[in-house]
Amino acid sequence: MSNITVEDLNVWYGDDHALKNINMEIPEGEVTALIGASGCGKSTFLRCFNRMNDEIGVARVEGSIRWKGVDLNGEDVDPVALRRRVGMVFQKPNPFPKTVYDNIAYGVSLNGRGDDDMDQIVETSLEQANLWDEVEDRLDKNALTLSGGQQQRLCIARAVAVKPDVILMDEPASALDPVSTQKIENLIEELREEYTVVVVTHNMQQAARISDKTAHLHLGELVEFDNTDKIFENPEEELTEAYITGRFG
Amino acid sequence: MNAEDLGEELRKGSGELSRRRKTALIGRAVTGLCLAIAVVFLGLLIFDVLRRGLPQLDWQFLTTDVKGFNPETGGVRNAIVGSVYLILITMAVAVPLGVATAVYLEEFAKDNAITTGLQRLVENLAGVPSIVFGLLGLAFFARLMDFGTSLISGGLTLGLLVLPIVVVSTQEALSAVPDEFRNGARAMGATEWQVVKDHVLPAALPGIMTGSILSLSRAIGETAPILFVVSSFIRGVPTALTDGFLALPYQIFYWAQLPSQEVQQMAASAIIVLMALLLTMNGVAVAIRQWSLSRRQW
Amino acid sequence: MEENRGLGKLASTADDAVVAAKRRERIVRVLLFAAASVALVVTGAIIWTLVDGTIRFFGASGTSLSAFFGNPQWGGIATVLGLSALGLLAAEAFLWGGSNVLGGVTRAQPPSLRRRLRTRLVARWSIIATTPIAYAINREFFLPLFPSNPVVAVAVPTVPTLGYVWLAGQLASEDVLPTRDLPGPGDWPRAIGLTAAAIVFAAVVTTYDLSTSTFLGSVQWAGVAGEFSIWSLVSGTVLIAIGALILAGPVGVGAALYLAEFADERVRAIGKPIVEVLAGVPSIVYGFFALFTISPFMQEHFGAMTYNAGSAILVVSVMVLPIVVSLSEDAISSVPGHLRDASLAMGATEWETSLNVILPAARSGVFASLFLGLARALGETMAVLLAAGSIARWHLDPLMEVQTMTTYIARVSTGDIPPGPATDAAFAVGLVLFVITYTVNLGGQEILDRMGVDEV
Repeated sequence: MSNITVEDLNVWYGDDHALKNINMEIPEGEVTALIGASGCGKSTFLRCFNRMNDEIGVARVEGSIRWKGVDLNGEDVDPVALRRRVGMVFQKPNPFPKTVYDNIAYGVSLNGRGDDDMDQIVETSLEQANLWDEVEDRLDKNALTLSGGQQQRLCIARAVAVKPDVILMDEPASALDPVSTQKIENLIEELREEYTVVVVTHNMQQAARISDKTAHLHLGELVEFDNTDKIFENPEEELTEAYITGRFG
Repeated sequence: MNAEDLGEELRKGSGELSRRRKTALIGRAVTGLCLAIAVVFLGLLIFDVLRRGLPQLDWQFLTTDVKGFNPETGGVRNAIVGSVYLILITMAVAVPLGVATAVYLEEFAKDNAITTGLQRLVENLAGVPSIVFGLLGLAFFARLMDFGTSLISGGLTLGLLVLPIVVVSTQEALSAVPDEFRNGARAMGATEWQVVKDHVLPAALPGIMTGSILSLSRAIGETAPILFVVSSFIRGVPTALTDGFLALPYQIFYWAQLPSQEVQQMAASAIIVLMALLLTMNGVAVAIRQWSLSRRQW
Repeated sequence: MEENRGLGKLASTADDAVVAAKRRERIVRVLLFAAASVALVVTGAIIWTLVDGTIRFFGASGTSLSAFFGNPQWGGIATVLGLSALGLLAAEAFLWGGSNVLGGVTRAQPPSLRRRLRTRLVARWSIIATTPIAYAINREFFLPLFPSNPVVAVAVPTVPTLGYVWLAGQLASEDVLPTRDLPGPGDWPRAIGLTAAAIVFAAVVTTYDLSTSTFLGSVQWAGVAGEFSIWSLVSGTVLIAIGALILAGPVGVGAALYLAEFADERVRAIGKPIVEVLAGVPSIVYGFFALFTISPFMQEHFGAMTYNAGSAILVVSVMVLPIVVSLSEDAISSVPGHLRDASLAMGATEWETSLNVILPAARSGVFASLFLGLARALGETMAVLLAAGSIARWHLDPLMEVQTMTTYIARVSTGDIPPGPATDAAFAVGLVLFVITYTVNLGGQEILDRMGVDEV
């Protein structure tokens, strides 16, 4: 089993206790959605998996995230190495101001990998992100000339190119129009086959559509974590019921 | 992939990554070193000047006039006075003109080609070498307006030199005033000038003062622009605008070139006096800034 | 009706006050505009002063323009070389926002791309290399055949320029991956403009070529003896300014990168003010330090002369440092944080992120800082005057004494040069200096104004 097991995870930003005693198990090869009102800590939680919280000076993370027997939050884990295995897609599409080609090539070449088959890697990654057909003849154009939706799929292709095991997505479709959102959601469906996906979303319909498991967070605590259909049809907790029926948040 | 492999791969300092980590460390150290160079250089410079200049820096040095012959027996009194007078004239020229220019550009000017052009002229004027201003002073003030080698020529030249700096710093102070101030006053039926006079300028005043003092402190250290209009062998302090004058930075230059080692040491003493003047002006400017920031409501 | 009349009354009583205020407003506006125009007046006055003095100088000394601007053997070649290089650099700078001017290859690019870049580098620099060769062939071979034919002169820089564009276009048309950076047919207008400028310049230079026949002697500035050729002042100026920039550029950008990306709050809080203090130290103080501390060191360890360019280069580089550091740091800090996050999340180290993402994205600011630093170095007077001496000679040896354009003018003011054409020459030198620094500054400002996140 190579599920990711979160044990007693606590995060502080200075004096602010952002995540409180989170315990859960992220299943391998499935899509797990994190939902909850803004400020509930779902993005913070997501950033624990690739140690991006390390980049925030005031953040302090305690507890463990076990994956294949390794504590990802451990002192001896190098965040740089970890991020090769755990990719991330951000809320706002953030391609580098380089060419489409170089955006994909960047992460791969960091490890000195793929010198000669770079063209192949670029093509495969873009195909995986369902973007190849649209940018095939524009590989030499600046990535910022693509549309927002294309940029976001490029960011996904960029993450896929380094062949990670896990892909984290922080509200990947929140800045996009409905058509682009649709494409991203389809893409997430397909990614499930090869990757473990953790996706933060504030859109409950989206969570219901794309995920296998859903976790509801509220004010830094894990309220409920179960199969997505269970959560949306028959939640155990009143808080979750209230949230998904829109009575607050 | 089994567990041990992943643990090994992710462990700090393993494999390929250790080389990249090392590069990162070296890169960081090298850039840090770049900053250290600047710091060390400044330290060396200050130490060197103090070492040479402090021994003969005494009350007598400060209160005796510069002696053209046997400078060892003299001091720097009239050079200090000359520099202070110069700054007063520079201030009288540069601050009103500079503030008015900035107010026009920032508050009144329409966003058109003329405004952009004027803005560009100001910015580029700040980049004209100071020795070129010296030539301007020589041709315009000393010769054409017949002020000769006098305090007024020097002051006017320095005034023009720092004018663009005053303009730019004043513009920064003005643009820091929030638009709500302006709109509030406009809604009361104030004309643009009333808005500026009654609301914007008072709010921006500390910023303008800080910027102006800093600009003037640049002027007091300038030598090149006044080379043409300074009077090397003048005695006493100037009593009229058209009198010849001495200035601290010029005196340093002059002494540094004389063969006598004793006189060269005096140049170092004069540097200390000049730096003390500069430090005082900067101190005042910083104090004004801190004071205004502490009472600022916006 | 009642109401309307009330409003009318309100308007008419307010009238006087409003009219008065409006009149004041108009007067103030005119006055402020007049004040703002002073910048124009001062710039005009500077130009007038310099031009007037220059005309006086040429009239009084009987120096010809061609003598002043030097022996074509040296001056002409150097000018053609320098200008074609400058033209290219400018074209490149404006094409790509200012970086990769030297064909920089970042580690993040795959070899196939690296090969592209290398080819581009070759294409780019080939024009610089071929210009003097074309010039020499033209001068030695074609000109004697057609002594007064300006067409030949026109042909000189045209050939390599067109060659450059052709070569680059050829490379771009190869059916391979990333070719974005190579100029293609779309760049023809720019190329034609560049060529036109080169043609005009070549015509001017080659006309000198026909009108004078002096050799090495004319690069010496022997003002007192009545011989004026600005080249020996140019060599001094170039030596000091470029030397200072070579030292201050990398160190300044490095320090800026450290301050913006790596330093913790405490180091920043100390480092930034110290760099600002360096900017506040008067140049005469730097000159003093150079003459009495650096120069003895140079004499002892490198066998330099008492007055030497090296000590001046060192202190001028420190004077330029604050400009480079503060402007570069601004540019680096303004790179949006999400680019940094993206790179880190890809598994790049902070250093790789800085080098491959942050610096390229900030490059126009960095480039502008170098421009403005160069302008500062070109115009520096007192530190150079004290440290570098006052012998004008055509050389680039940092251990020897040099005179720059600024220090020549300063020497005139200190009375070391007897009155006459030699003192008037200060204005002609000042004019050249003014034109050069103004151009460099304009370039820097232009880049600053268009600054944003750069394409990489």
